[in-house]
This record gives sequence, C-alpha cells and structure tokens, in this order.
Amino acid sequence: MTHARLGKKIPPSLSLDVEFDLPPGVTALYGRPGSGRTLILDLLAGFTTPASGRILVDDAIVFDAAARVNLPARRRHCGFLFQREALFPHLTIRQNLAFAAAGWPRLERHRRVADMLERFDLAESGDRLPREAPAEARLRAAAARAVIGQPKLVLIDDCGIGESLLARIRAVSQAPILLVTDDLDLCCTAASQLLLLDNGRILQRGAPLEVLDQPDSVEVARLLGNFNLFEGAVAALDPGRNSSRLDFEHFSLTCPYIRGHFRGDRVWIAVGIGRLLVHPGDETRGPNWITAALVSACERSRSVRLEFAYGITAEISREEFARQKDNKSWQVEFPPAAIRIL
Amino acid sequence: MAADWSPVWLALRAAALATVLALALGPWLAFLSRRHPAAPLVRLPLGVSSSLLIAYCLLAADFRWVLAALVASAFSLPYLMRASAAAYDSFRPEYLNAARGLGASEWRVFWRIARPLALRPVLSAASFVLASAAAECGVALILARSLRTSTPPPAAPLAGIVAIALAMHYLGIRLDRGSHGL
Repeated sequence: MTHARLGKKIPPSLSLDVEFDLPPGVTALYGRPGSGRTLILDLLAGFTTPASGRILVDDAIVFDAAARVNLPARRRHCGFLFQREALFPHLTIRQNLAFAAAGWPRLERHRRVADMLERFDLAESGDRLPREAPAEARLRAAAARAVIGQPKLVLIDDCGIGESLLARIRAVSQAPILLVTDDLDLCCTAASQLLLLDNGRILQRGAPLEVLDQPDSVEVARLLGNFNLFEGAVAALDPGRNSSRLDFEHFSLTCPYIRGHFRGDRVWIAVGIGRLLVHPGDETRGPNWITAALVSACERSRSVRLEFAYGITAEISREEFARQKDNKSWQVEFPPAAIRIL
Repeated sequence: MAADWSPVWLALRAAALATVLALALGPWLAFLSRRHPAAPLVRLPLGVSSSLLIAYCLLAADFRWVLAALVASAFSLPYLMRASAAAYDSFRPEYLNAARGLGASEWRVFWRIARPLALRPVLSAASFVLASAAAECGVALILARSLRTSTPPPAAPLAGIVAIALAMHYLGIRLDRGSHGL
C-alpha cells in the first residue's frame, strides 16, 4: 500500500493538509498552479520535509513526523519526472541512464540501459548530450531514467507527458504513478483515480469521469472550469411529480425534485458546458429552453465554444456549429438530467 | 647584474599550494554546508588574511613558503567556498534532486553532478585566488628584500609578478564568461 498524509505550511498563504491512497495504476492530481501540486510530489520524494504526517511507500514507512522517521530521498525509491527538464546536461543520455542504474552490477547495468534505450526509442539519441537531442527524445529519456531503477512509486510533475509515454512507463514499472497534469482528457483516459486539489486541500476524489460529471461543490465546478454555474432561488417543489422549479436572474429552470430544501432557499446549480443543447429559432419548445443571444464563438481543436447572454456557455462539435452558424436567433436547452444541484 | 627572480618563484609556489588546498577542500565544504545556517559566516573572505600574508612576507626573518601558503589559504578557501556555493545555486536545483532521487549519496551527487557543472566558475575563482596570492606575496617579498639591502626594488621581477597576476585574472575572466547558461 502507498499512502500519504501530509501537512506543510508555505508562507504566505499555502497551508497543505492532504491525505490520500495511491492504488496501483495512475492517480491524477489536478489543481491550479500554486495549489500545492508540486509540493506534494517534493514531499513524497523527500526533497522537502513535511511538518506533519506520514508517508508509506509500498508498505514501508519513509516518513513519520510523530516517530521522527525521515528517510532521505535516495532511500525512498521514488522515480521522479520533473516539470522542467532535469537530465544531467554534461552526460549523454546513455550516461544519464547508467547513472540511475548505478546500483546494479556492471553487466546488468549495461543490459538495463540497452533495454531502456530500446523500449523508449532512444537508440539514436543514446550517445548524444541532452541539448543535442530533440525535445521529445529528452522527455522519453527523462521517463526512462525515472523508471530504470525499478522505483516503488513514480512521481510525474506537469511536464507535458502524453498517453503513449505514460503507457510505456506503465509497461516498464508496476509501481503506482502520481501524475500532476492540467490535461483533463489525459486524466480521463489514463488515470483510475482523480484528486482535485485547491489551495492545499483535496476537494474531491474518485473515478475521473465521475468527478468530472458530478462536482460536489461550487469550488470543484469552478476548478474544473467546464461548468455553467448559476445561483438561484427554489421557486416550487413538487415531490409527487419529482420536479422543482428554480428562478434565476434572467430565466427559470425545471429540474428533478431537490431534497432537503424549502421554497425560497438559495442554491447553486452546475451544468456541464458540453451537455447544453443549442437549437435555431426564437420559439421556446420546452420548459428548459431559453432564448439567448450569441455573444461570441471560439473555435477549438475539436469543438466550438459558444458564449451566450446571461453568462451561458455551451460547447458543440464543429460539424454542429457549421450547420447552425447562420442562425438568426438561438435557443439553449438545459436537459433536466444535466442539472446538478450543489 | 642579473635580477633576482627567487621571490617570484617563492611567491608562485606559495600561491599554487594555497590554491590547490582551496580547490581540494573548498567546493566539497561548500557543497556540504550549503544549507547550514552558519554557512555564510564560514564563507566570508577573511579580510585580514591579505594583510597577514603581506606582513608575513615583509617581516619574516626566516621565510617559509609553505607557511605563506597556509596563510594565503585563509583567504583562498573561504573565497572558493563562496564561489562554489554561488555556482551550485546558479544551476537548476532539479539536477541535484534528480541525482538524490536516483539513489546517489551526497558525495556521488557532488562528484558526478555538482562538481562538473560548477567546474568553470570554480576554476575561474581559483585563478583569481592564484593571481591575488602570487601578487601579494611576490610584491611583498621583493619589497622586503630591497628594504633589507637598501636597494631599489628590481623592475624585472616586479613586472614579471604583475604580468603573471594579470594573466591569471584574464584567464579567470575568460573561464567565468563561459560558465553561464546551465
């Protein structure tokens, strides 16, 4: 088992207090810069000492504040992929790998280095200095160096790693991986657990798709950044019909019955921007259809983000936008199932 | 009459030994003491050491170049520690952390990573140390000898020691210029 409970204050404002398990596979750590993501990795690796807490790596205690156990970084067996490039600039890529494999006898070391060069497609770059190798090869080399010593925990800072390189790392190392990333798509495809970190606290944890679809709080929805957030008042509650009506500043919405609230209560709702539907025309054809003027359209790689009046944001496919871009007026539909009460 | 060059050789020998001593100990001590709270005090160049060296060269009845080297190292060691510490601080901390994370001991981190990366600035500092010690000791010895014999100081050895010091300074500047960018 790999488990961490960490406490550390970094003046002036960051106070880290987190506890989490790292099961086998990839755990993604998502948060804003400055929320303590890299600090968590540094504490686990032993580069910084926590003020309180306990760290178990593969059932071995590497840090325990109460028992005054604090193993140095070299004895923690953590492979680390840094955010900034950290290949030793005066050693070739082969020598970088050999440095990391120094604990093995000479023949075994050579075999491992050759094996890693092959597995990470570094045969051509092996005898080059890092600055002479292309950026992608340098990242692969850093990954190979991190796992060549068979670490018990792999820590990957936000270094622009992709799914394929992550798969190569997993093919070589069975150790749990803690991945700091800003890429929510990568979290969904590669991670089995997602930790959402904000200002030193874990706001929510769980399976990535579950967390992304069902934020627990306004803070989580804001952190994820792909939700429409509105604050409104409960206008009607009908448990018999399993429905509620919420009044907002510019529109009303009908959604499933909200338990534990009374009429007049203020509530927040979150609706995923990808789950809103947009239609042409100026005639509302359902309870949750809202006529809203299109303010701007921003094309992205696979979709188009539409900003409407009243602070409504929707995201549709490029094909859908091509069909509707000449609309004179727009209807935005809030499917009741997509409305999440916070 | 041929000029007496012996003060120049004595000064060079003393300066060279002082520099070698400082080079052998300074970078490693600086590496060990990087995070120690008292490290800045240890690294303070002792301002009195130059005066001590000059006084010793001027006043010693029985001049011993090894003793002069030890006095000179009282200046050169803290200076090299200071230069080494500045060099270690100038490159990315990730390099040292990466080496530690890969299981390297502090000595191995120093020998395989910190020392090669800091080589040029440390050598640059060493050449300044050599220039400074050779010039102070050499000029003081020449003046002492001329005072004792009541003769004017010989121009050629004086010019020689100044030329050596300038050459060492130039080398130091060249090395320092090429040491940035890690």
